[in-house]
Amino acid sequence: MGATIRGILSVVPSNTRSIEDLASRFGRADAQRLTQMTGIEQMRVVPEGQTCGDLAEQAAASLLTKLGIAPRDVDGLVFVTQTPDYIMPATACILQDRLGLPKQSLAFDVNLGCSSYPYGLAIAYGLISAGLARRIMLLTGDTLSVWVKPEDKATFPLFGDGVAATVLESNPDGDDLLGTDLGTDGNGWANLLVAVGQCRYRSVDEFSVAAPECLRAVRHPSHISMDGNMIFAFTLREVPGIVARTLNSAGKDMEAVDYFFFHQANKFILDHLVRKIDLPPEKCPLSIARYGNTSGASPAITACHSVPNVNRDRELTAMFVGFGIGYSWGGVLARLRPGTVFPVEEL
Amino acid sequence: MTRNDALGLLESALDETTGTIAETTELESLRGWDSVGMLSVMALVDSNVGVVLHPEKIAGSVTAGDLLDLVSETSWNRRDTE
Repeated sequence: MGATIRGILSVVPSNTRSIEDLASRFGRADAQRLTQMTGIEQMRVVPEGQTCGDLAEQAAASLLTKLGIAPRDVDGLVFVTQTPDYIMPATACILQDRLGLPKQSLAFDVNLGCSSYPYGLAIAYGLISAGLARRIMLLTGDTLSVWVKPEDKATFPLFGDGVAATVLESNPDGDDLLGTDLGTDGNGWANLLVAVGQCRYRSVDEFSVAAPECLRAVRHPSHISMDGNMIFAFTLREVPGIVARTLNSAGKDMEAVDYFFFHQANKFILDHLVRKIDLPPEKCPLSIARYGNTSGASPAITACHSVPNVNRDRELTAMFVGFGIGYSWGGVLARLRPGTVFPVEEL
Repeated sequence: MTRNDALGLLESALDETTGTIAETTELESLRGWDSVGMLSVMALVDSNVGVVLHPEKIAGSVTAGDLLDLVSETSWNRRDTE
């Protein structure tokens, strides 16, 4: 059984954080230097009381309305996020109820970040191909702004919030997922993490006493800790291979791809990658200037930011590439049928 | 590429005036030598030499000369394993 991508829609908070906010916190010179490196001019962050589940509900409901699909006709919900509303239960279960999906729907969360969009597409495709669901609401995204330390120059100016909704459904006449590459190198797990708050270290005191050598450099264990240079080295090593293997699995070459939607890590990294892989920059749109690094939703947010007008009447071949925390990575080459990519919405 | 050429590229990556970095220059004394500067150096070396330097080894370099030695060593190691 094949699977069709029926639609992609992204939602970001209407609440904005700007360069001015950075300047007031870090000073204007540092704010400008950070902005020059990251390429971020503004980002969207959830206000107090708004959660990733709220963004996901809005994205899912809006996409179903646009596609003219009733909630009762969806029988699967997969939410790939690292910022669920609760430690337990899975936010997917809550969303099944809030969206009014049938009780016969499968629903579960998956804990992945930067790589979540290609992983989510592959999981939904696998469930449909195995006959376990006919129509799946895939939700991917995070509200990492909640977990950044406001004094941390490495993360506070970087992470914005957002969620992407994608509907996939069974289609006996063809596949929209043309090629896939998924991978993991858990050796890099300590370079991007929130160390405290779950079962390994339930408090900062516990962490201070028992943290292993590889976490000794973590200064804010209750918040996101990132070794940007280690992440960059990983990116340089792995991302060119993801693109090549995804193309290879589809039996396509670069010329066959209309757009490459990369995880919006930061502009410096993306510019370097585009040159390294020798891709035409016009095929690699960015959304980071407007939304920041939106974690796993960022490849889809970039598509929704960049190509709804192009896609309105034209089929596109697009690669979605995610890479980062874990380390985990994925690439999916997909057919985007006309009118399937909708503009970014706000909540 | 000569070591002098490499020093010129380093100056460019770290936003330093031409001719200000010698092999004996201590990296910590350079205004641009912070995490962003290290990122720029990694990109520079990847673009020009085709190797990815390990960030911990970059951080272990004291002088500009140490950094050039690291690039040479990493480059030769890669050739040995190819």
